[in-house]
Amino acid sequence: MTWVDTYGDYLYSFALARVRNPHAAEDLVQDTLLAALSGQKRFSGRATERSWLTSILKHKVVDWLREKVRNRLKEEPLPDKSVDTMFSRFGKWKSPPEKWCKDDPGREITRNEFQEALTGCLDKLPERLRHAFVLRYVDEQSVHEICQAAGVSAKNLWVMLHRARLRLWRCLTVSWFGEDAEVPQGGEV
Amino acid sequence: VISCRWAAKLITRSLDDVLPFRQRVGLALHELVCSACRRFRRQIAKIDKAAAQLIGEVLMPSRQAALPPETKERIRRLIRARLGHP
Repeated sequence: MTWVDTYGDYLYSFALARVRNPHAAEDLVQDTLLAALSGQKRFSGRATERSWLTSILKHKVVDWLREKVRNRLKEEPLPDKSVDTMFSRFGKWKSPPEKWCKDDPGREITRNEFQEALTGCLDKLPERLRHAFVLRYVDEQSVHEICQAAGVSAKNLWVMLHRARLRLWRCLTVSWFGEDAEVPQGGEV
Repeated sequence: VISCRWAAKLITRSLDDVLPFRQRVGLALHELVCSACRRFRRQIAKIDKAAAQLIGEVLMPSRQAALPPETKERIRRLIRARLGHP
């Protein structure tokens, strides 16, 4: 069995979930395996082969996202109507945050459900916001370091992250709060 | 007194950075009297935690994808070439 056969699908799934672009994900897997080939001597055997390959891929995903974010954030972000309209002229919530009735953090299945809902909402984000948001969480550095590495201003990245979070929050409020009218006891969030 | 719009901005910002003292105090005072923003902070914190797990650590659920066969073949060829096998 070769690496491609053993880890190809896993690595591809990992990349695709984060870059959401099949061609880019395929290229990232290819680059990863070729890089691993030349760096094979550095594989210490302490980690499993899969986690070693995943960590190489993760760096490549970060580089890919940085490039996207860098290109997007060369200029100041334009106003985002969808976020601006959440507040009144006086800065009050137009529709204040509602209780998420389905929420019960103690249940494993609920956590998976929440992650499913979050995945769905991530897909609804405009690409530029998704790239910034995913980079923030896939890269293990602080926002200042992320900005330094990507060559963008922290202020601009914060604007994008704020918008991404507000949109995700609203999307989750709809998909998470909605449909189910039965309110579980306790555990208000 | 700060507005909810500004409070929301500080709340999301506080996930990435330590806020300056004055902003921390302003936000705390606002949250003291605004249950909507308190709830917003709890919900945003939940999103932050889930995103960190989902994107930073694990594969996204229901996202098992297969590398297309022709791509696998292409990579195999490249690896063979790199190893000097015909």
